Parts: sequence; structure tokens; C-alpha cells
Amino acid sequence: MFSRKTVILGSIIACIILTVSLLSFSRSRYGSFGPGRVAIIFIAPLQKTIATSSKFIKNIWNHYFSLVSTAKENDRLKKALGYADAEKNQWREMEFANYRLRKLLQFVKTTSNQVIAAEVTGRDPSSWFKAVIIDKGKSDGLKKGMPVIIPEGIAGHIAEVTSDYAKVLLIFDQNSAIDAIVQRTRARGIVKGETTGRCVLKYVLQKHDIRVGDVVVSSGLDGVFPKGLPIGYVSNVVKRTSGLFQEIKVTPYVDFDKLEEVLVILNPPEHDFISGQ
Amino acid sequence: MTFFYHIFVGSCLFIFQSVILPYFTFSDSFYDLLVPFIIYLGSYHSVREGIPVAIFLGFIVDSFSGSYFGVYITTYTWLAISMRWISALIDMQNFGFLTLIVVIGVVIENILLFLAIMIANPEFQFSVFILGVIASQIFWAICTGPFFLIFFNKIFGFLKTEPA
Repeated sequence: MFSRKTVILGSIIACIILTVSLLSFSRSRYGSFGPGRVAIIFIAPLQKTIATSSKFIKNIWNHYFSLVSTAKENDRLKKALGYADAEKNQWREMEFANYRLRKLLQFVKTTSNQVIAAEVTGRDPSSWFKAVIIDKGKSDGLKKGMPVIIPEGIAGHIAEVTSDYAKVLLIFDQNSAIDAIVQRTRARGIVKGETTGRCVLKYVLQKHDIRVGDVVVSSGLDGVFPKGLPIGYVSNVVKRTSGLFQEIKVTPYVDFDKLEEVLVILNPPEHDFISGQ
Repeated sequence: MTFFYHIFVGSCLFIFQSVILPYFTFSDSFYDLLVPFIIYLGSYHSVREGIPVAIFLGFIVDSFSGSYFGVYITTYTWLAISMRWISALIDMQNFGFLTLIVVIGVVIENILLFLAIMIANPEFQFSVFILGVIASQIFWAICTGPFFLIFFNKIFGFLKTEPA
């Protein structure tokens, strides 16, 4: 009845009219179209689920790569921080060493003795004996019996010596003994080491007036330590009614826990004990 | 080879004890780290293997310590011998006995050291300070000693089974 051409043309016109009509209709009823809400009710949750999932996956994906780079950056920063910390620590150590060495140098300038500086490299493994190893030996002119000091006072004396190292017996070792005098009263005695980490001043007669805080110095009579080197201060005095001597505790000036550098006196007072080595 | 391995481990322990350990505040009241090693040598090895190492380590410690020379050689030798004897009486697989044997070792070492000190210095007197240090050493021995024994034994067992 109609040609094929006429049918196509009519269909196109009908579609245009339908489209225009629908657009006009929907424009006038925006927001209250029932079937649209039903679609939203059913489709939107799915949309949301998919959107959330895709966002989640996208986030994971992005964060994964981000985390990888963050982890790398974190590693790099940690490494840099580690280096900075190590450097800072090194500077601080150098600062402390500088301070100690300046102090030693100042002391060397003020002392008339010929001295050599040495570093403590090891300590006595025992709790009951007190000795340290220093990094100077025979090749540096050290001999058995030489006094070892620091600016604060007497540290000990050389007990053993090898070509490059020496063992220093500290004054608070029980085998150590120094002929000493109390600076204020000139009372003489022997400073001996004790296992407690302190020393005792022995053989001081009861008649002498010794007080807590009195300074104890070397007498120089033992032929090992030069006269007048500080040893420690009196920390306790016990005068018993019986007996000839007082019981006097002496706390050394030297903090042996912090002993790192020492000075060895190379020209101590001449004595048979030293010249005999 | 075993002798050199033991000498190496003992020397490492000695270096740790004399260089690293003093940095810690408790080092003065810590027991001799070579004691568990000597106990291990005495308990798990033959006299022929253990005694020479004990003498050698005693020689090293005597050389570095302020003690009279020979004190540690004697102490370690007697410690190794006594541990050989004690280990035959107890179950060395039991953790409690391991703790006990380390404590006994620390006590024996201190008794021998103080005997040596008293022989050389008759005026020597025990004080609360000394007892406190020994108590502290025993405390540390209880806390750490058995682990050292187990560690030494495991390491040696592992090295022995490793193909050359």
C-alpha cells in the first residue's frame, strides 16, 4: 500500500514527534516521575556498590603504588636520619673528647713532669680486681711502676708492660698502696685499695686530727708517685677507744667508671723498684 | 679444631666482657661471663678437651686482670673439673638444673677467688658490699646463665653437624 520510502520517512517523523512530546512531557513533570524513582531505587544501590567498590579498588591501587613509593621514601629518610644521628653522635663524642683532651693538655702545661697521654682500651673483667689496659707500651717509653694520673688525681701505676700496651693497676685495687699525707695536718699513712671501690688511709695515728673532707695527697716517699698529687678526700673517720690507728675511708677524686684517657709520668722519682725493671 | 673453636668463642666472650660490658651500669655486679662457658666445657666435653681451654682462658684473664697471676688459671681449672663431676650427678637437659649449675659455678668461682685474696691479704674482711655484689651476680646468673649454656651447646652442635 505504501512504498518503503514513505514508511521510513513516516517512522522518522513519528520518532521526532514522540521525542519532542516525551521531552515536553518530562520537562513539565520533572522530579515526580514514578517509574524513574523505581529505577533509582533499584539501580542506585547497585551503582553505589559498584562505585564504592571501584573507588575502593582504585584507592587500593593508587595507595599500593603510593605506599611502595612512600615506603621507599621512608627507607631513604630513615637512612638519612640514621646517618644524621650517627654524625651528630660522632660530633658530640668529638666535642666531649675535645673537652677532655683540652683539660689534659692544660694539665700537661701546668705539670713539670714529662708525661705521655694514653687511651684506655680495656677493663678488668673481674669485679674484685681493678685494672685497665692502655694503648701505650715499652715502645713509647713506659716502664713497670710508672705513675698514671689524670687532672683530677692519681689513677694508678703501670703493673705490666708490653711493647705497645700496658696494664694499669688502679688505686682502688686491693693490691695497690700509695704513701700519702693528709694535706691539712700533714699526717702520714698508706692509701690502700678496697673491693668496695673506695680506699682506706691506714696507719694514721690516733693523735692526728683528721676530718671528713680533708684532702689526701701523695707524699712522694714511696719513690713511685711525685709528691703532692691529689689522691682523694676523707669521707669517713672512725676513732676507736682502743688501738693505735684511726680507720679512715678515702674517696678517690678519679671517677674510674669514666676513665678514658690517662697520662703516664715518664720521669717519676728514681727508685730501685723502677730502675730494677 | 674444637680446641681453636672454643678458644675463639672464649676470647670473644672475654673481649665483650672487658670492652663492651663496662659501658653498662650493671657491669660491676654482673658475673664472669666465662663461667658459663667453662661450665659448658666441663659439662659437655671431655676433660682432655675442656681443661686446656680453661687453662688458656685463665691465662688470658690473668694477663689482663689486676689479680695475682695464676688466680684465674687455678679458678677456671678447678671450675671445669668440679663441673665435670657435678654434671655427672644431675640431668643436664633440665632447665632448672642448668640454672642451678650456673649458680654453683658463680659461687665456686667467688669462693676460689676470695680464698686466693685471703691467702695474699690476711687482713681482708668480708663486707655487706661484697655480699651484695655476690647476690647480684647470682641474680644475673639465674636470669641469663642457663641461656648461655643452651646457646653454647646449640652452636657447637650445629657446627659439628655442618658438612665441611
